[in-house]
Amino acid sequence: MPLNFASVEKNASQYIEQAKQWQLESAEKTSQLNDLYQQACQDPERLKQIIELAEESLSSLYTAKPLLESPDSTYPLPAMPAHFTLLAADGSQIVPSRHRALQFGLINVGLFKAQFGSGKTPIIDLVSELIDFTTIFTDDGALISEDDVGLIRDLRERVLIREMITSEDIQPVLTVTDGPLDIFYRSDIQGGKGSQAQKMVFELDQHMQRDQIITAGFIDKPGSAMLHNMLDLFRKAQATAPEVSNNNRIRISDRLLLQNKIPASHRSALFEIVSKRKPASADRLRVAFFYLNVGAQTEQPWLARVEIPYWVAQSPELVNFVHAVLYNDAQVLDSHPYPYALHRAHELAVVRQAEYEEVENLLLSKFEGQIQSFSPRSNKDYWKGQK
Amino acid sequence: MTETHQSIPIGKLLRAENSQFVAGCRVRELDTPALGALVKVRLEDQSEIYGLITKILINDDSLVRQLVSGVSIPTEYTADNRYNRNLPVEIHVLTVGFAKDGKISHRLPPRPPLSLDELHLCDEAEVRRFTAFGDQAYIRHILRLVDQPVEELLAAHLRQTKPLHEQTGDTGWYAQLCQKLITLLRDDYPRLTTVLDVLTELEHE
Repeated sequence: MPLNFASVEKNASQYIEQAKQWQLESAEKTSQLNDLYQQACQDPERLKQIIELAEESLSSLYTAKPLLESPDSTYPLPAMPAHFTLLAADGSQIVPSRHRALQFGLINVGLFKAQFGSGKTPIIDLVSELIDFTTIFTDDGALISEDDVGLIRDLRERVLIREMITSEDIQPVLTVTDGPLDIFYRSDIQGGKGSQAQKMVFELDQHMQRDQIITAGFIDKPGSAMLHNMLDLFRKAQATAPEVSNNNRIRISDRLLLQNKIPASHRSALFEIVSKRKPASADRLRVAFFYLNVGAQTEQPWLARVEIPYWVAQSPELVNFVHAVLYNDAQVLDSHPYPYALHRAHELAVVRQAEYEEVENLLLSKFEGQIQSFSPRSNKDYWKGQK
Repeated sequence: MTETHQSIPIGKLLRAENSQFVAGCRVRELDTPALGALVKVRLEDQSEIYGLITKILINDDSLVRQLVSGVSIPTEYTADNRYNRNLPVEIHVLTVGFAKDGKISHRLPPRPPLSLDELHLCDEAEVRRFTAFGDQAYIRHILRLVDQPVEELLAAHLRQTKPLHEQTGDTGWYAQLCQKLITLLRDDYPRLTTVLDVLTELEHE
């Protein structure tokens, strides 16, 4: 059945009114936060101290902390190096479903490596891995969730991209993945899996640092409000801070706050991600970030967040390298700027429904008629597949 | 007819019908096939379907269109799109005959080839055998084409085939083919004039 448009239409007016009201409040709050931001930027050292104090006293925190650069400064596009290697990895997955005849999970990671200045055709690879049968069940016998599979996929992306690097690659080498560099954001991961994964990411980065391989996470249209959180801390610590609307449901994203402050091709100042949650993990990647306006025209800003390891953020030369490479790579797809290398890795990795069913049929065929111990596909799933 | 060692695989079939078929190949394989070349597909029953390449089509998609209209792109990314991406070059083939149990026919085959059947470029000996068979009736299939540059296709085909026959001392093949064309086009004077014009051009090359 198609949608009941009459029913949707009935509620649409009310929905639009609510959205407009929300936008008005957001605009007001953005303006207030801009004033607060200006005030906070006048004394970056004080701002930093306030956040460090919060780090010590609060058990749960997710905010930004300025590094050495003034928080309101922006930096123009640096010169592009003539020779370097860019690697990208992106993954997709099949999440086990109880509705299917056979429960299985699969990770599909697309890898893309271009050696600029070589004139060579980029190297592509696709790694498809079935998740072990015993791994698709949780300790209490339920099937693992989408977040669990996502965690396995993210880890494999990072391991496989590392394995793709060879000593023949043109230096410097930049690896890029889609999404945050650390994997703390997967909040639904149960047990110690999350901290184990963070430890693995931390150890991988240590290897990367030893080999001077730069990693970056590219977040398109980011929704986080780390600067809003930072300004909340600043406001609470100030006696004379401007008033800000107390509707806490409206969080102003960093993107909204900065989009008119960063000219096309420029980046923002560097910040460090301050993320504390229980249980605290000692072996965690220290991550810094900047916002990059990947738009080509000032009238149409498009901010992406670029996350880099803290050790990379300590080197202006490396930061310039990441800035130049990711901006220019995004300009290849300039109508909707997004790094070409990442797009290609994604294009390689996408698993379509037909392929899902092919894999299922392949697995079922290997039972050689001894499938009776498994329940068939659910009737609901069967009818969903009918046209 | 027999498989020869020189026949070169140039692609695999995407779709087919009795009178024409389309194969796909990668850009890397594109240096071999040419407009007007004689190609064949061998079926499971060992019969072979012959055709002439009538069109080579370079496909696009939304990414290629973006790259074309965007800023200048690195040479490495041009190579990526040409050689890595899954966009087959389409080779359109006009069926001109078949061979079963070693016997050539210039009629259409009873069945078309199947998807993923391999398309091969015929070697010189095979081109000579097929094109010299009977009274060169295969040429009528070309003249039946509509909305296609028939004269150019004829010129391309003859430019490749004529020297092969001349190499073996068969100078009569070309003259016989010209006579065949005149016979087939005797009621279509405008077209015959254009075809003769192309043949004259070919002789002066």
